[in-house]
Amino acid sequence: MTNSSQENNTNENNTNTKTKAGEHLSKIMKEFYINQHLDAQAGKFCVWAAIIVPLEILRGFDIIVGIPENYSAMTASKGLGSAQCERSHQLGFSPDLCSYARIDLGNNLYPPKDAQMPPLPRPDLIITDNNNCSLLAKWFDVYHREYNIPHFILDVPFCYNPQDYDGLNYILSQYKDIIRKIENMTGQKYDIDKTREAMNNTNEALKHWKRFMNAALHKPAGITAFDSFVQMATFVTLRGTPQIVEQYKLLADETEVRIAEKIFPVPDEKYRLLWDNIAPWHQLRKMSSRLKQLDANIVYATYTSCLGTIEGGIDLYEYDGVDPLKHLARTQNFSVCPYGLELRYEVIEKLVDRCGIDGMVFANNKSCKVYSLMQLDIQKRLIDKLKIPSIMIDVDHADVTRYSEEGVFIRIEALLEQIDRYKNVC
Amino acid sequence: MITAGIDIGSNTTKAVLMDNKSIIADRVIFTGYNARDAANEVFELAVKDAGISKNDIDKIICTGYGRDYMPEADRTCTEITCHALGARYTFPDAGSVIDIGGQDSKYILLGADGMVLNFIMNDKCAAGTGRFMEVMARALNMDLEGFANISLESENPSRISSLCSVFAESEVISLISAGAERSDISAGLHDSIASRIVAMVHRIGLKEPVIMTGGCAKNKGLVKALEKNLAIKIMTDNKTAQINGAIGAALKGMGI
Repeated sequence: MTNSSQENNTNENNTNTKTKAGEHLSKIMKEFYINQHLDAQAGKFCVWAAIIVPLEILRGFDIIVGIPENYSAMTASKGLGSAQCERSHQLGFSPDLCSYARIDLGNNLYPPKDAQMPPLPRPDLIITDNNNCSLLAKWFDVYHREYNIPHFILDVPFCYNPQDYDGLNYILSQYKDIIRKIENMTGQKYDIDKTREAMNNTNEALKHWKRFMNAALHKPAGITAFDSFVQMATFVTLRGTPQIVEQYKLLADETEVRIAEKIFPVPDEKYRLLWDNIAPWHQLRKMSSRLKQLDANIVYATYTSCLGTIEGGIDLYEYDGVDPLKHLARTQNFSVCPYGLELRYEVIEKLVDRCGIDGMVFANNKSCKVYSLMQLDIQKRLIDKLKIPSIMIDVDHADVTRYSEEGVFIRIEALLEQIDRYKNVC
Repeated sequence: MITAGIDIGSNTTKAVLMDNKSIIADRVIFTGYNARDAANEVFELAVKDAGISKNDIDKIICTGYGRDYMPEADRTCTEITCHALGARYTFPDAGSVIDIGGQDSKYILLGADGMVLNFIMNDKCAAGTGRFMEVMARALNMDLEGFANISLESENPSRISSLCSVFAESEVISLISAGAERSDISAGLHDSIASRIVAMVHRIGLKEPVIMTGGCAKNKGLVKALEKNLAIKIMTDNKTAQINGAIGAALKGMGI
């Protein structure tokens, strides 16, 4: 899973002016990327981390944290994804690989001379995980070989059931190995109080995030899933920092005010939909605009509802302020991908019920097999058990050449017609 | 109440006029380059056939890929919904619909009252569409009807392993060079397309009676290949198969 970019401004109200939270997001993301380069010029140690790696641990050091997946999503949202994918193909990487990986590899190993976006600062260490993406470790192994730097892979047990005691301790032991590795490489002493402070920040920010997401429960919804996709950028890059608290508080406050003022993204909302998969970054504006014309709103997404949760849950699993590492280990599985079929279905069933969902959009993502694999079985169960109509559409989160707008919208329109008949008949 | 259903497809454009659920006129023409012109032309021809004037028509509903190209339409509706409605009109107990059109193929599971329970479409690959049939008939130097009928004579269908229409054509040329019977090649091609449709059917579940619609439903070789591969009897109605989507659109105009 991943996030979005400051340029993806679906964060507009229905007068098409950018919201304060949208403007603030642009500002802090710009600063995030500029500061990384300034810090790198000053000689700071740089870690590239996968987005599910607990950034709060890394906040216990004075280091740069680069997030390649965010960079790829941002590239895609600027409409530059396919060109970067093409460059990776020219290096011999398969077009069947994840488009995040292809964009990132193309950008770092074969950067265009006139690059609109400079690559991330060169890393000294890579930290990834294997519980939300099976490709991630291989993708970052390329840099491990190319740059001759260590690659730490956080090995997380897959969840057919909620995490058990042994699983928790196994993850905790690896956190300690990560800390030791960075201490040895940087000569810095790890400061757990900084991690505690970071965990407090994340916890506070996520309370605001849930408040923001609850705006989807209002009818008509105060937000679209596209808003949440865009605003995830802060979570994946600035987790644990004061900026994320400020951003999500502003976001939730502003959203609540807009609801009070009856400003809604789809004012004549007739269809409330749920989205399952990563966002199609190259289509956010187009897709949300066309949906609005159809009085349809994708109000919620499994992709963004999972932040701060544990297996099968949709509510915030709150930090108790005691042991930040233990809390991080307990929430290591928050993303949807490392769940078995039962847990995946459980999440969707809860969201359908809570959000008053009329229909479901399963986005079969060519670039994310892990997220897409179980969708057909979940869809069948959803139809049988909840009598909710749904569709399967083909998307790719960052490569627009694997997306057919008309093919997708004929299915969406058919879904809306199905919903009409369900409402009339049932 | 008189309604018009116009189905603007990639290959042909169809019009059906209905007066209180009875078909009073229907027409099929090639879409050609300009879908808007085709829609207007087929509509006017059907109106003329029915011996009425355009003003007598209460609602015009458009469906198909070109459904947005007729400004006079009162509303549009997807071909998924229209084929479901059309199939239930002709076969009231229809359980599911296989529709093979010029540029896509779809399988629709029906629920109570003609409601679409689930559907699956192939609109990315020419193999499994009417276009595939046209290309293969041309490779065998036959017209479509001859290509379909000769497949019924085969006792030993050739095996066409390629799932891509471009590569399948190369395979056909190789088979011709190797001296394979035209009937066997044709039967092999029909089996090849049927296997793709069968995969779609099983993906969301077989539900009988299965109705076949679209222009390809007139192809007896394809119906036979599908029956063989699915091991069931498939229902078709030559009179309404090609205009099934337009029937559904006309019914939609009556608020069904």
